[in-house]
Amino acid sequence: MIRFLVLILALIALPVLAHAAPVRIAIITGQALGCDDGLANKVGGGAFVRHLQKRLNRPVTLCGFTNTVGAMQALSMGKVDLAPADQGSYLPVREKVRATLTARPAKGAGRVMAMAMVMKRSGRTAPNLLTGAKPIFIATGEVTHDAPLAGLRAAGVDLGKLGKEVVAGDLARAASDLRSGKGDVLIVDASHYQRLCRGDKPNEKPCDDLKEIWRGRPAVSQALAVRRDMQPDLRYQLISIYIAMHLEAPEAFRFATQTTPGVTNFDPTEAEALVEIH
Amino acid sequence: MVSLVRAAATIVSALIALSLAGCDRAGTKSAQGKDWRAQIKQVRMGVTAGEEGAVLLGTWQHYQTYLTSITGLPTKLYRASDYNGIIQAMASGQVDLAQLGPAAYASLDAQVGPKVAPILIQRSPEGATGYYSGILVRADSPYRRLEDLKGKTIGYVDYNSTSGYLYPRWKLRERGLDPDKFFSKSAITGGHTQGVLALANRQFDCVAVVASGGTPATGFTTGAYYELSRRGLIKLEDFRIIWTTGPIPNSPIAVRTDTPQAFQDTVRGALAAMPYDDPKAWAESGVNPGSTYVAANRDVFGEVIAVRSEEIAQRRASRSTGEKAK
Repeated sequence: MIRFLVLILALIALPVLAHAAPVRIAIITGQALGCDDGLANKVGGGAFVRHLQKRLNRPVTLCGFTNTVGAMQALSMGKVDLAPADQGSYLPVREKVRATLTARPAKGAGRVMAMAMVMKRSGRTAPNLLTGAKPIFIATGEVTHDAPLAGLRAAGVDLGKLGKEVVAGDLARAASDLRSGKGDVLIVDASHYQRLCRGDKPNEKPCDDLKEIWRGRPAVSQALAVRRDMQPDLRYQLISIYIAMHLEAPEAFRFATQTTPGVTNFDPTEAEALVEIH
Repeated sequence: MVSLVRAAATIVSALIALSLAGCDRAGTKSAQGKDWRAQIKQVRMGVTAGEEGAVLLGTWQHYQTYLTSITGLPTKLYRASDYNGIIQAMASGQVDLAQLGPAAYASLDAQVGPKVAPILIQRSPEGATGYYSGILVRADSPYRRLEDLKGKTIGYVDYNSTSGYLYPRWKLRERGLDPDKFFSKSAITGGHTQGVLALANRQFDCVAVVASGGTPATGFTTGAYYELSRRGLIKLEDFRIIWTTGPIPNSPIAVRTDTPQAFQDTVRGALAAMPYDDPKAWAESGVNPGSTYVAANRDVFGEVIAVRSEEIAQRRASRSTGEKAK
């Protein structure tokens, strides 16, 4: 009889508890405050917590940490579910956690995708084989030069070991410089890549003689991270809520970005966005 | 004694179960996750050839596969042959989400209001979230400026096309020109592709079509005009764009808001994450390299909604004037 009653009790309680499990968001408060339902009001995060609770239909608790190292350690141990990270705090725990969101700066090009292309006949097949190679850029500037170089650096290319830069002036001349051997690797942003390689006629393959050896984005210095074993539904729901927060809950967005002012919105990101290969 | 031990063991088992349930944090399945799946049962997605023309119907199969893997539910694609088909499918709740042109969304907004909401639009690598409408003429014609087209014939794409109808007519009105009087004759061609082909066949002096994958300053790389060239049906050099207007907010992915919130957020988050989580499928879906999704809401389409209302009011006024004249 007792066994029966206990089982019934457990069956009733299971969904209730599952529903009630809070999502624990780490924030940097300068001191270790732990997870506390009252923390939101103390730090001005009421609107943020209410927004997340409403959208996730479950409790949300803020957890205060001294710094990102503490927050990432807690994330890796499963004590929080979402935490701010930087490169230094991420690397020691990267096997257990991943980047999932970044804040997009209002100024600048953002994380522009870029590609590196060499002549097929060059024999170069990977970015780590670019030592001594002369890079060709369409122009100087953040989109056409700085962001692609930052991406290459994140991919492990030692920029100091590249050859002398060639700045072609326009896309056609840049491609011509690669084909004529004036430079060894053409580094272009994604929009110029499309113009160069898409082709406008049937079966036209303008880049058939070229080999793309890298495509990627610059690493980020800060991100929001989750555990790698987080249930995908929850990760996607968090992504959805965060990327639309500036539109749907501006007050919550201001709180979420208070330590990174001058950003316009959150973007999703790849798991290893915080990693620069050295 | 034995029964007491058994009871104690059962209590311990139950407590473990309770404890596991209590530990149901972010890392394990939640009851909530199951709920929306039970309610939705399948994901019904409506698609048309994109307003920008870059994403062709076949490429939606990548989305289908991706969403099926994310949701664990069958994802069914409902292909509409025209703009109105997708509007009605969304309005009636036959589909849960859809990719549709901005003006089609504005029409839907007029019909069902907040029952449908835009959730995502594409962003170019440089951060642009809009595209353009262009007036296309044959290269062998004498037309070089918009003014040269006074008294000529124009082909529009569809009443629900933003770039192929709504925006060029609005911009003409802004310049004090009544599009129904400026052009001697106009007709609906039924699509961007059909419009360009009709121009090639000299059925019109000009057509209003989408111009995307660039700006008036950089030139364009996508749109029906470019797709037809790639298919060998026209030559780019046989045409020129003489006038553009925009940017127009890119075509949204919209959802029915009477679906569970967890479904809406899972789908929006998953699609937004696709360029990062599954870059191969994203690239193969035909999007421009480096493009991503950003969140959108009704406000993003405020101008389109206003222009749509103005267009409807103008048409009603013209009809009313015509009837009075009879």
